[in-house]
Amino acid sequence: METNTILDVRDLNTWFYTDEGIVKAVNGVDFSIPESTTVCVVGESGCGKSITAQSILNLVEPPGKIVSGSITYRHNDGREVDIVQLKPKGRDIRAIRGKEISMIFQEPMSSLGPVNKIGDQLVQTMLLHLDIDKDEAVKQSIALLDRVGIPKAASRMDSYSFELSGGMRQRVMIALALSCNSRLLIADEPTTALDVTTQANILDLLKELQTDYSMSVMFITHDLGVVAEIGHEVVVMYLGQVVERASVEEIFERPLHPYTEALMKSIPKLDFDSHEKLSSIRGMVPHPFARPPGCPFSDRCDYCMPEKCLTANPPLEEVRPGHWVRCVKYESMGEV
Amino acid sequence: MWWRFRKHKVALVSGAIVLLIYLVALFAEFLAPALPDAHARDYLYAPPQKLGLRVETEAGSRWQLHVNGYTVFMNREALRREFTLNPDHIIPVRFFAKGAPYKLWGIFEMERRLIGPVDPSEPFYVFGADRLGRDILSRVIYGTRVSMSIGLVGVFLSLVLGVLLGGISGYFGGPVDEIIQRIIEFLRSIPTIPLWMGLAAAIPRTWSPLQVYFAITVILSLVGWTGLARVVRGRFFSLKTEDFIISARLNGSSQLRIIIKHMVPSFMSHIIASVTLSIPAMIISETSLSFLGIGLRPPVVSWGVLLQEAQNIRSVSAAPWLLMVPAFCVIIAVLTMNFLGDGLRDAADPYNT
Amino acid sequence: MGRYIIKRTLMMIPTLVVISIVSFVIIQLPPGDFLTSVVANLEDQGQTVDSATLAALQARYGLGRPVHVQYWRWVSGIILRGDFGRSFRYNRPVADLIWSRLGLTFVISFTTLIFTWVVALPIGVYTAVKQRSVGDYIATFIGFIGLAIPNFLLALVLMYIAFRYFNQSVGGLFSPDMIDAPWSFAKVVDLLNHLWIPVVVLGTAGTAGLIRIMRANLLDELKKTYVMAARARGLSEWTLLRQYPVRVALNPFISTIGWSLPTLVSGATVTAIVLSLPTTGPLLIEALKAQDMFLAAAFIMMLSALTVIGTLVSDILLAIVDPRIKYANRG
Repeated sequence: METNTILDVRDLNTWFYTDEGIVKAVNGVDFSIPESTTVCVVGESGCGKSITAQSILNLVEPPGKIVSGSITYRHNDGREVDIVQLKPKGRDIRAIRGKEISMIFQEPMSSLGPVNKIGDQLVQTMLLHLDIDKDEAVKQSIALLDRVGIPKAASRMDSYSFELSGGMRQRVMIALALSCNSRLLIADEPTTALDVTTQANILDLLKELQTDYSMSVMFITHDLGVVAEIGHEVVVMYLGQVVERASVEEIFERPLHPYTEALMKSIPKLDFDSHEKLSSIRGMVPHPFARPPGCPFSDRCDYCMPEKCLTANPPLEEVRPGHWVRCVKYESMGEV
Repeated sequence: MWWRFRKHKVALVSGAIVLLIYLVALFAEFLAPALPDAHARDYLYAPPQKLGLRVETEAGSRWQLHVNGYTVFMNREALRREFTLNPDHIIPVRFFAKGAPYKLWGIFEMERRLIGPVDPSEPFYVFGADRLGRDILSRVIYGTRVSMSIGLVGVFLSLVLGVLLGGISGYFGGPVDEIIQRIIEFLRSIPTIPLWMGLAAAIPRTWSPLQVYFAITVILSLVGWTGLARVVRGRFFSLKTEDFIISARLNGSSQLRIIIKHMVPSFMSHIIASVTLSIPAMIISETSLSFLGIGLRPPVVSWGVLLQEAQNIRSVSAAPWLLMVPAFCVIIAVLTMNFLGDGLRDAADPYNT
Repeated sequence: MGRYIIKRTLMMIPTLVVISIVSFVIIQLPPGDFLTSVVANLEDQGQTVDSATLAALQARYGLGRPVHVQYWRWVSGIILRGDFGRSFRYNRPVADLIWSRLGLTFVISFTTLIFTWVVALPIGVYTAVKQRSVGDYIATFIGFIGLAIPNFLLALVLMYIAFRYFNQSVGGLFSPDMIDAPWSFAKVVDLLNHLWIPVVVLGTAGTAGLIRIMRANLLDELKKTYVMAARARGLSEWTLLRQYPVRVALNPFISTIGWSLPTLVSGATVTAIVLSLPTTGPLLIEALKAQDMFLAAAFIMMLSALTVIGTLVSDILLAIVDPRIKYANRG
């Protein structure tokens, strides 16, 4: 593991054992998160992005289970720990959650305790992980609420979440995530449920905080516009697998995988010709029990070569420096 | 809905048992070995006989469905007769035995019954006898008819009231809804048993058993409809804003047509589940009232009436079958109905526990 | 908060009025007016009824006057003088007969409520957290049985078992030598010794119901994001459960006091008759059977009023515990 990497996910498999059969929500995912970097994970709904995020904190609930693979977290002092090996309810993983890695969720409406005061939740988290007393925790909480842009922070300590707007709640969630100076922030579609203006404000805030605290962010989204704005690196996922991985500039300049390419085409552009039709990706994400054989994207792919694509799933290969793709088009191509 | 229901094995088995219980209620006359009020002075408090399959004789053992006769002796201390089973006295038993004539459903004259002693004058008390020497098994079977039907009829009445008022409440909303909701709240806030007791006590003693039967069902449903009305109202409210209802309205369908064609079918399954869950409550209510002596009265036989006769703890300790047999019936009926209703409800609405 | 309490209390008044009307209607239901029963009763006791007494009684209860006048006399007597009328059977004022029995009914109902809570809360939480475990299935099964057995049947079976196997009679709330004794520590102990049977009988169904409610509510809450969010902050499972989902799931639990009270009082009535407890049940049914209607109406009205007040208390309690309700009622 390279020294500037703080999280390394190797061949992660998280499966759901449902009554109807096994759903391979995460099916052999590899990627890593370098220090002080924002990595965006992109893909349509149902691609396993959220489950990957939950796996990183070992939060996957039954019937889901991490079946194999490793998630290596590198502490500040260089100590490495494989999160997969920790007991999901044990002391060791709890010391990482909220302290080293924290998480914010898609629905700000339901991710705060509904009958708990905002201040109590902040103070509780700080007292749990930091070596400070209650007065200090209250003081820091107020400062933090102020920092994330909540007006009259001190008086908001006694508010309940239902008294706040969606944007404010998400700010509180961010404050909670920052409360113990964690080094990695997992943001699971944090702006999806918000209206457009609030979305932009929250994105600006996250971007600003990332630089200020020089933390790493794993940002899950299906919106490539967001990626362009805040991302450093991009991981494209499809049906539980990483299909392409590269820096933001590279991805936007040279999308290689047909899926990434299709995603790109579906973004409206400023120089958009009104006679041209905005393209959308053909078909939909297949049902988990109806995965096509071979390459999972083959049934929606414009370049599908039946004899190759339907027989085997190609491996994820580095076809340019730092640019990895999983597609037969670039097989043994080396440099493009 | 059906395939989801099938996943509930317990509910499925319960459904089969419920069906069985209703079949017993339907064919009570044929299934009961004796008439419910046929008494026998020689067999007061006779204990249950065991149904045997093989008979040991000097010539070896042979297959013969039978029960054993009784030996009677006088317990001078307790001043009552006591029975023991006499292993030497074999009473042959057969299916479709002839017994006292009866009318099935009050129409068809019949003599044969499902099971009975070959010689009708011999005692046959598989579940024992009561203080008048009446067969508990037969009485329980006849009681099934009354107790189970009172549940059905009562629920039917509550359903009519509940769907009507709940539907009105939910469809029109506004002040109408407000008034009906207040009434429901009021009815739910008063303890039912004292209210029922008050109403039931007002039934004139001179009424015929049939009149009392209907009066009791009406009294039970007077309070029972509120639960159903709430379900219906809730469904109406949520359906009113559903796209398919709105589009039907925009298409110019009449209100009645919307209700009958679109809304009723979509909450039918909920109604069925709620009804199934209301029946056991009705059964318990009837049983409780009859037990207290203000519900159904002899000569009508219901489970509650049977339990009322088991009220005296001294006679029960001498003849526990008086209590155990009807109690078992009530518990099984209520339990299976509950399981069935739960299964139906889960199947109708898997996201709402 | 104060405004909310006042609002709820005012809303209770019409309900109480309707309850009094219903109770009055019940007095009126039996054929013949109750003076006939009084006369019959007095004559049974070998007394002759002179016309002066009759006229006095008639005037007192406004008999022969329009129904609404009778109702007003009855109700104003209760409100202004605490006069519930006279029991014809006991030939005493109803007020003398009902209070101690209502008190004991309240004690039994309240104790049962506490009992159901103490038992149902931990079991409900356990079954939700350990969903589909053996313990869950056992609790669910016992819960179903608890719901399926009518109170009086459970009482009968318990009595039978106690009588048959322990050779003791379990009826009543006091030992024979304690019944008329003045209140003392020994009498309280004696009461507690007898109290547990009706409490178990009454509480079983309620406990089963509450376990199901708690389990269902908590299962709903456990699915919500805030639970995972709290877990993602590193809270231990126990702290997390206690401070987040259980607190939310507790609210419907508290509101169950409201609807469990009518059921409890109902159950207490039947159970009391079976176990011959000195509470309202046996006297109420006697009064109903003998058509001693003032006594019966007083019981029906007071029992109903008791539950309505109980519901009010639970609503206020709920508003204190759940900040969201206060919020919704602030405007």
